[in-house]
Amino acid sequence: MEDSELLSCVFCPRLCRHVCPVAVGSGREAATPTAMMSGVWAWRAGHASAEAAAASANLCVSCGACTSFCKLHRPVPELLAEARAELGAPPALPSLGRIEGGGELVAVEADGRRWAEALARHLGRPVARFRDEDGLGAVLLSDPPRFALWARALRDRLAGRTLVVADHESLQAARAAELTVVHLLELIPALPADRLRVRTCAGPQSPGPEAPLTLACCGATTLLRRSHPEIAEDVGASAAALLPAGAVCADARCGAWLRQHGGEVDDPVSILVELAGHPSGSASPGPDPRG
Amino acid sequence: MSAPAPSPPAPPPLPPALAALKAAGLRISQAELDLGAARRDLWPRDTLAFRDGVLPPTPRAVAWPRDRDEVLALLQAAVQDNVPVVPYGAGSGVGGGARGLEGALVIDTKRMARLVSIDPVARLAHVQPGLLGQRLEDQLALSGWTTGHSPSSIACSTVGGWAAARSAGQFSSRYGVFADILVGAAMATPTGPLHAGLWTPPGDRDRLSELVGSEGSLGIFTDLLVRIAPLPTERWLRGYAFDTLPEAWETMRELLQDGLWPSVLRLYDPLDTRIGGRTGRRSRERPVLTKLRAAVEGVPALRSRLLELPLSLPKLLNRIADGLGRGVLLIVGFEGSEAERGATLPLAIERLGRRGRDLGPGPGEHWYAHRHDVSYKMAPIFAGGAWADTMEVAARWSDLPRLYAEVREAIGQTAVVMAHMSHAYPEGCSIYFSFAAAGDAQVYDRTWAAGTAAALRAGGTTTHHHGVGRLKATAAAEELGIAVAGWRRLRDQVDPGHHMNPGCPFPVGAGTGAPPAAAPPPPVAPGPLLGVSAVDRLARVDPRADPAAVEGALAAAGWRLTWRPDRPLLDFLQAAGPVYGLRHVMLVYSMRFVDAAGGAVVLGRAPRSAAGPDLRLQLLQEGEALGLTLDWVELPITPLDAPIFEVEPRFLARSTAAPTAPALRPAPLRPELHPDDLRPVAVAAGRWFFVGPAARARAASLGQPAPVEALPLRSPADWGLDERPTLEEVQWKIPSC
Repeated sequence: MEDSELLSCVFCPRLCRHVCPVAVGSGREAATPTAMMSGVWAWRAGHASAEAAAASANLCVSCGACTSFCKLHRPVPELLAEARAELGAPPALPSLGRIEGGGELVAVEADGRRWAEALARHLGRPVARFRDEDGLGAVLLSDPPRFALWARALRDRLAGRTLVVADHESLQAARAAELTVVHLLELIPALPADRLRVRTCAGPQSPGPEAPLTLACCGATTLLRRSHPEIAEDVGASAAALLPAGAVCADARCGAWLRQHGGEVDDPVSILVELAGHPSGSASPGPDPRG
Repeated sequence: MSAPAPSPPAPPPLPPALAALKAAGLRISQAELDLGAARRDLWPRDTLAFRDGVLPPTPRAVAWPRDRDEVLALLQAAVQDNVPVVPYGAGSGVGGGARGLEGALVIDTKRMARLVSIDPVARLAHVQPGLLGQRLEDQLALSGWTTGHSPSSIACSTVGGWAAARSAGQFSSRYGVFADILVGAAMATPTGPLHAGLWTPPGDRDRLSELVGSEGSLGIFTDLLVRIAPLPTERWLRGYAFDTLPEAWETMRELLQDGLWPSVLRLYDPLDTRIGGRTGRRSRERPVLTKLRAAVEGVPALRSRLLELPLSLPKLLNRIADGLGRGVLLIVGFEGSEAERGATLPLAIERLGRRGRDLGPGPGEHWYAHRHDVSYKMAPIFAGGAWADTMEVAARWSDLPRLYAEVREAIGQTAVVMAHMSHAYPEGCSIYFSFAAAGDAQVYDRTWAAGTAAALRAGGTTTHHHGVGRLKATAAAEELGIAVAGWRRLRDQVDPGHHMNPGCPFPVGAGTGAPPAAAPPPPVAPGPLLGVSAVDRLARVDPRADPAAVEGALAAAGWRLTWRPDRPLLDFLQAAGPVYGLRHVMLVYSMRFVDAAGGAVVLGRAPRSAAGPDLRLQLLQEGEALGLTLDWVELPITPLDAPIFEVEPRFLARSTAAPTAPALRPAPLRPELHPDDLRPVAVAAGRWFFVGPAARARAASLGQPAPVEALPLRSPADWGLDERPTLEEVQWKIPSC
């Protein structure tokens, strides 16, 4: 990364701040994409400490809303991820997790809830279970070189099977690793479109004037909670307060977080279980055990 | 990459009162990341310094209150701990008003960011101050409403900031500047809460105009009540070419003075026409230049100084620009109800065609689609080793040519400069200079000192809508002169320890000195009418004269007062207060005060100003106590031969029963029936009065128009919101046609 890549943001009047879920949810000036980029630039220019720069970079939840709003299409999440890698001691490599059972589909139970059986019942074919208690790639997203190593190992173990994920972060990580992956919602098309009023996945659903109350991924459940717990708290509460009634969050982990903060929200796992029935002991879509 | 910097020294621990609040759970941070982010707003001087490694002062702590009570608690703690306070919205100010102060407590309002309620009956919305403008508009749009306020900073500025710095939006000709949109406010001050506008407690004086534009020097807005309007169903946009700037000015003035109220009037000067006002046609390819630029940008050492060399010759570049031609582009827009467009648009097209050449919808639609893009253009200039800034001044029409020439000449000594005019009123217009230069902070300061001095010399205001900040504090104090005493008086009441945003909007110590002497006796005026400016549609009158005598003198000169007082003028003005009922009606344009020491000041150099609070209404009432005597006032006038029509709007009788038949339920509102949309000059006894070329057509859209000889007499109590028909009345009074 060159300094010049940061400068468009450093000298920008913070035009994308109103679409950044962290900036809006926390209300903090430091949480604007411009301030995050400025924090990194100031460190590279020798005006700020590495700790402050890392704290700035860790505020980004990689939702991409800023990039999709920016007329210059600045790749803020990528640059900040690069900065995170450049800045600090890489986080410890989480375990690869375990794959249990057979079938072409592998359900990634990233938040600890067990829904592989419900999916198998819904589809009428076997579904294996992937247990990853650290969240697939949640930490590794901030460390691309390590992530590449990890993904290579996982690819070997999957041996051509398709991952099924129910959270944005896992989806992003799997796609980045060129794994074959589908989102759970693609497998339960019976879900009425009008229930998908809030889609917290990043990318094309980023908010804009045409969809003002749509949220980009607020990231409160993952990176943000690890690095900035107080800010994660505010962002989660803010997101919950903005939810329209009967909202469905496309991200199961975010959904759990939003419910915890008082939001009335459904999520793909709960919907799946509702559709597939709930034989005693087979699936337990309870609250996120880590929430 | 430079060697990483060591961590800066930790700030001193929180003083006791603030520490107690933090311990009680109030969000307060001393983290390096938060202190760093709160150090600056968008003042280009600080951006320039930041680029060069010179950091603005570091505050001691940042706090994020959630409501008014938490703001009050923070202010009380700051006073107790003797810590200065800097209020902070989204930091989009370009004058350093939200700049960090060494050791200060920054109070960030962005956790108070709710649209609390919409009142469709009164057409008002209650908003918290930390809500970002674009998010407010997005939420209002869900219910079919808009504030109509659309500054180019709308994505990155807060509603509270709009009030604090007297913001203006791109559709101000129709909806007014934010001071016209705001009708109520609650402010937390070090001595307690203060309510103003429609929230003024019974018996108290309404101080809304003194709070707006106070830039955090009195307190922090905690709640705001704003006008809303229906989202326009249609928008008409065009470009018109004019041979010269004065011809375009003349046309703009006619449109406003004929009461046609466009939503957009945006005139580019010759250079800006060629740079910023392009009509969307692709510019001719210049492969050699493109390759040269790419080659330079490929070398980091050159890239960072790409603009320095060309901008170091500003006088030469400005001279070259002078030779580019005199033609200018005017963007015109109309929006609103079908009834209003029908009444005004044909006349407007005729006025525009007198001197202008219709370029079709392309230029207007191109502007609309790209109206916020300019904000992306600053970064490359700073990254290229130069700096850029903008200066928005304003004056009455008769002073406008001089204002344009003198400020352009002054800034042009050190910077390449161009201008556009985007806020027009019946009495005058603003000019928005954009300039770029090479050089350091000294060049920056010299450019600004020359520009503001020229604006004052030419009779203009030094700021139309960017506010004062620390950049223009000295100039604003000079502009307001002896009137600064009014602001000081109020500040001494609400912030006796002077903890609130010291140095803004007036320098520390401004307006202090010896206590005022007794006000001098009123001068003996030579007559009721002291002068008429036909160009500005203003009459200068003796405020102590009999209104009938004023009207008589005006009639002899072919004019009438736009509104008619029912009692002696000074009594009327002192009793009237702000106008909330009709947003486009201005009771008084300017006034001159004198003091016993021979000092004098004219308040109202331009139709709108952001040079601190608007002190006109305050000084009408409190001037004597401050040793100031009112000399004269200027009032809006209308040609005697301008037609006047009245109409009694034809509605069905109001239904008091709950609606039961959905088929009869009209749309949620009928915007064509609201005074805000049709703009009568008076509403009295159920009749609406219209003046000017569009008067008959406007009145006809409501019922059977009838010509009348004179407007009704008005009393000071006539200007409240009560004059508006409520939505309930409008909803169930369907036009019988």
